[in-house]
Amino acid sequence: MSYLERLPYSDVVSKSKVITSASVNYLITRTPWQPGSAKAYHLRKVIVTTVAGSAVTGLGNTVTFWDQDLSSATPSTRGNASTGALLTINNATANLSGAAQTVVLGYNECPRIRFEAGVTAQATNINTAIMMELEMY
Amino acid sequence: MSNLTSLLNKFEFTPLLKPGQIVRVEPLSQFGYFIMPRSAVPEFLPEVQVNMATPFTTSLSAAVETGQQTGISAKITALDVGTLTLAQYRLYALDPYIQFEVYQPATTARFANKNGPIRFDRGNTMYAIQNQQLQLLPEIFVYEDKTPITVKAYNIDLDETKMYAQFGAIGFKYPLAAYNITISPDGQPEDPIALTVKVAERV
Repeated sequence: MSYLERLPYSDVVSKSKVITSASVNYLITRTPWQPGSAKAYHLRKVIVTTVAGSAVTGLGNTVTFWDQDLSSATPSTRGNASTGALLTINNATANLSGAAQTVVLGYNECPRIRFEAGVTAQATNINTAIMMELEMY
Repeated sequence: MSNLTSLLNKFEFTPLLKPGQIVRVEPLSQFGYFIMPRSAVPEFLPEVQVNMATPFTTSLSAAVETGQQTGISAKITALDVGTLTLAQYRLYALDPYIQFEVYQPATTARFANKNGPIRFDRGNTMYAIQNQQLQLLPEIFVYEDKTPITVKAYNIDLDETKMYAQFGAIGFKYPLAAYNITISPDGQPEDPIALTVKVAERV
């Protein structure tokens, strides 16, 4: 989707993280919530890629996202890894022998979830790379 | 026939001053009245890019939770023009997460309200450019090299430092000549003033 298609006066940025431990919280990005900035994020695009490896277990890979700044307890948290995920992506059949699996959610597929503290994620399998395009406003 | 007409921040970005017209440059006590000679023409100034950081040498530190940022401040001489020349620029940000404040001279915020300096960033300036709303871009005037702006750049990203904090400037320059204006008995200029612009105190 075009860079032009966004809220007036917002900006489009990107962040990424590689998850190297299964079922552990990973901070993908902190929202600029500090005084003077007070920005929020919306998802525009999410790319999840899992590369098969010896340490990977099972065929599926569930990646959950929620609104939390793992580096600070100041901003409110919304959601958690187990029962309160704001977004869950199932990167199924990620670990067939020698295979890599990618799931892409584009602008039209991404739910308009607001991340006010940060984007934190957890994956059930390692070797999971997450890249996000975010609308900051 | 004294007219102090403001033509600033027009929708279209075209030269404000035509040959033969008079411009009043404020503060008047330091600059005065000038005319663009009939033989001169306004000239377009293509984009000038200025990076407030130095890639891989001097970075902008990541933002802090308190919002008390230090940022990088620098006098920008890249926008200076030659003798007896006035320049008009519109500014926009090129890099994400960077907010800019403009001062002219060094300690007087060029864009400010009662609450303090107003910053511009890529979100609000690029949006204006892409929607052809050039009148919404911050506009500054620079006279010769006597009134350089000082720009402060702040990184609002809590995650990481930045090596790029660029803003761009496009504009026009107007060659001028000093003009002895006639003042009427009521203290008003008798010649028509096409444009009044404010630069700043000389530095």
